[in-house]
Amino acid sequence: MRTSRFVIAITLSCVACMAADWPTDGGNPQRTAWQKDEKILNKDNVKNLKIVWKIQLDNKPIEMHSLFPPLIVDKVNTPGGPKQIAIVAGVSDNIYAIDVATAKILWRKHFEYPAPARRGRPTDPLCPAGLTATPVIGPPNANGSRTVYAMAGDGEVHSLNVADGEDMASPFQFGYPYGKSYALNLWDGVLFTTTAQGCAGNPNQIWSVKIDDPSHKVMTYNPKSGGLWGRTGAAIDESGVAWAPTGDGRYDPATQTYGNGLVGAKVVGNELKLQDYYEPKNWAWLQSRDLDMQVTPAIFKYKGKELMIAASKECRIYLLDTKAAGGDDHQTPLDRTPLICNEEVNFASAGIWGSMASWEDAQGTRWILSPFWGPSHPDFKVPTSYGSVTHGAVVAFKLEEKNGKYKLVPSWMSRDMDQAEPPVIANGVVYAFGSGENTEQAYPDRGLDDNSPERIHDSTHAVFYALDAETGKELYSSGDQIKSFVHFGGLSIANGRVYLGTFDSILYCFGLEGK
Amino acid sequence: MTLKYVAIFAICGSLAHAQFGRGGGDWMAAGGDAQRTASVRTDAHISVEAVQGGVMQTLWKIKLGGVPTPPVVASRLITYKGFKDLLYVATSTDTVAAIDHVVGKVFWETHLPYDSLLVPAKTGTATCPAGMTAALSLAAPLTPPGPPAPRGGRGPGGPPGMAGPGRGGNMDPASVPTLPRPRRTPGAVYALSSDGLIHVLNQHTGQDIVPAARFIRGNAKAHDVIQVGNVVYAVTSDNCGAAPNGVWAINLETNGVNEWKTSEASVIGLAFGTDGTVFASTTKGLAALEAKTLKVKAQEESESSTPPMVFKFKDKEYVVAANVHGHILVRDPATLALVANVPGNGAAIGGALASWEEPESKTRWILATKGSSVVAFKVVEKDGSIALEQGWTSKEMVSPAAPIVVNGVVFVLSSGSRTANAVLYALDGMTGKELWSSGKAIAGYSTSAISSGQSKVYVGTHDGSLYAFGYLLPRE
Repeated sequence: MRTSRFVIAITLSCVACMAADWPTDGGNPQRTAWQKDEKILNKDNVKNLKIVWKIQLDNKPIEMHSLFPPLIVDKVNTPGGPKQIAIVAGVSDNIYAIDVATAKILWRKHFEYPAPARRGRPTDPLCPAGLTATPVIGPPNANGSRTVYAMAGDGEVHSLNVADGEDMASPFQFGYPYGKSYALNLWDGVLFTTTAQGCAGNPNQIWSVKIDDPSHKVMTYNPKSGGLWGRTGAAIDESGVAWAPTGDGRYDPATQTYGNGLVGAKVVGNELKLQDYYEPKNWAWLQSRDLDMQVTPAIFKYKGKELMIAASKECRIYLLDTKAAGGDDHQTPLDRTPLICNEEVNFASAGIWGSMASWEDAQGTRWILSPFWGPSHPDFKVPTSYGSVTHGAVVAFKLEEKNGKYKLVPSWMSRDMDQAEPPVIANGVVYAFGSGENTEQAYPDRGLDDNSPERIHDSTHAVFYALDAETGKELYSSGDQIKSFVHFGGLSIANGRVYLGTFDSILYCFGLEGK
Repeated sequence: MTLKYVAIFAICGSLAHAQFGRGGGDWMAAGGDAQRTASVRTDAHISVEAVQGGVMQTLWKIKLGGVPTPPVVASRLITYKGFKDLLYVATSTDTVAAIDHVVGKVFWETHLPYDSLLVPAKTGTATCPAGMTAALSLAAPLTPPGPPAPRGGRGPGGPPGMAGPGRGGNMDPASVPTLPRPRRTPGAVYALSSDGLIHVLNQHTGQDIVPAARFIRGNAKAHDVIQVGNVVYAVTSDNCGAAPNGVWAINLETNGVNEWKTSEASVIGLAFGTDGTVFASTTKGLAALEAKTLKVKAQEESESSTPPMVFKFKDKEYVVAANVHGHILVRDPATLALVANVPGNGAAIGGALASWEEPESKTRWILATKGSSVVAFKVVEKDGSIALEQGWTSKEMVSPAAPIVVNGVVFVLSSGSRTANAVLYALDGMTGKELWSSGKAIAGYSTSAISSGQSKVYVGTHDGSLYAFGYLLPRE
């Protein structure tokens, strides 16, 4: 009996292994945004991409937020047979499970809870009152079932069966009500999230909880900084260290204060403890101009080392060793690019926002990708580019190493994109999009006035692109097919389909006809 | 835009500055503040020790279309182009410019149109230069504020304790001061154009917030413009442009103008008591005027040679000005009764006075430009009253401009001449010891006063250049 269960579990696991999943924001716990298992889409056929389906969801947008990046799991055993399922979270505390093959909703969950005592200011885009963390899907259990962990706006984590939406376990408190948690990450049975903007009085910190801990003790690490608002939360390295960027604040190691930096914390026993950190030498400049380090890093292996790339609104990229981020003084990266954009030194509508990406080609070349907003810096030189960049673009670097010295070498810069968002990579193709979002926060006549109604009114629509990952050449553009903009959404890719949710709560699925 | 809106604009600006003001290292108007002490009490990077350690650097030079007025400085502005630290200058050609003083680049520039229907333009003379003569003003609080509260970027930031002392790598965190809270809404820059209109300009764009209002006659020799409590004040001298000599006040809510005319006496300058009393010095005497109405509260005759300055010593306020005989006269602000009289030695006292308090010993210093040197006096108690005790005297300079004080460091500009370039000196405020000089960094000579803000000292020269010296936060 015991042996047969084991065999079944192994078999189900192998079936799952064969499928290409996208179980977490950024594709994996390291947040590389690289889909390694894509077999259908390639640089020869993506020119034929089309919207294979789109679905209007009944999620109500809140403060510019709407749908978060879908999670994809293939070969899920459902009552209707094995299915590839897209799990989509909506800010109004909704979870949708969509049959990718038919674009039908398999199940829907809406989280109800008493209104929290505090909430963000109405019209403030920074603090939407609802679900804000992209859920995460765990590995198959012994029965092959997959659990999606979703944090409702009240901070409770719900463990739902991907197949039918049923509770797999009782909900438990993890986050802060209306506290704006960022994308969940899952590593070795521990859930992670980060928080920012102090929404509803929430402290800005890294959060963790062991799923199997009956008491669900919440373990936190607070860097005493501004918000930890990397779009895809924390990235996890091979040692289980959760790396998160920190917002504006001071750097003072004597008081464990790590503003405008990158902190790595790990669960040790029943505590989340700081393991390492990196602080740019010009942190005070970044602080003075509101140029937070606020981009989720990407972690990858390179020539036997585990490395990490991080960035900030200042608009440069840092290469770091996860075993000694910033070296002995915590301030010396392995390499640092020149300014790529943001000559104006603007805190909004310019700089690098969101998350990083990285992939390795067949020749073993390690590529680094970053989106950025606003015009490219006039002093930034890149061998291959595609016209003037004024609204944003994706930029690619090759990582080179000679005699222990690492160098991020500019390779290409994409065409202009209206507020380029974090790309994803699969099978030699980079998928990117310009969000079409109005990102202005300050105005000539009023100064700072970041408000949702005006930004929504002034936003346009997203445009989805496929680019040759080695040259940046445009292979496909959705043109004006997408009707709304994207704020805090993102791309997901698996099994020949690329997904993007927009502000109007429409989920678009791009793919090839008949595949 | 309504008058109500401009009032809110002005009050917002005033509150913002009141909250941070010169504690945050800003410079609000000619003389720095409403009391005209020409001093910045605290500065993030300039101190005697820091200047000795080499903090003063030549930062940038920018060429403007005319001789710049002493800049006024506003910091941590959240503009539509990002966080900016801006200074504002005017030139005689009715041009107002905002300069990002971190990078030394013009952020905006606007030309104030001359309304020739009001008054025909005139050609300037040595006595009556025509053109725009007065420095700009920001909203100045009546009471100098305390040091800024710690603050990071825009967001809620971290919990208390962010600002503790510490150690660290390349940049010692303990050496990096906490930042003042950023200003979310644009304040105003007040500019008196040569046609006599007062302009209320958006600090972020240079655009008129409301239509410019008639204030004084065109082509006047106006100076000492300052906005206090939603009223802009200015003084006129030498009866230039047929504008009578006097003190002028325009209420920004009603555009109503009050004046105190001084007949043949040119007004040299004005200063404010913390109760709002306006002190005006003229070539015939000193007057205490009611705020807004400019009704005379008290008056005395002493042939002033400097603008008045208000200072506090042991919790009591005094008003001081020098006279043409080289005396420094300290008076009770309520009655203008003489409290202390420092006889001169025949050397004329010109320019403007400055004052600062050494925070540890609470020693109050008064600085005057006497002949070719700057002389420092200590305020002491004597026989139940106060007296000025001479302290140090600087070396001789070429036409020294009025000194200013930044966190215990006295800056004096040797203005130079056609044959000698201007040189900026930093002196130890307690001893007068020379700590630093700009050497040959300044080409040419200067005819205007200097000012400071955000760890920098600004010098304008006759050829329309503006220089910045001081400290720049490393960007790399």
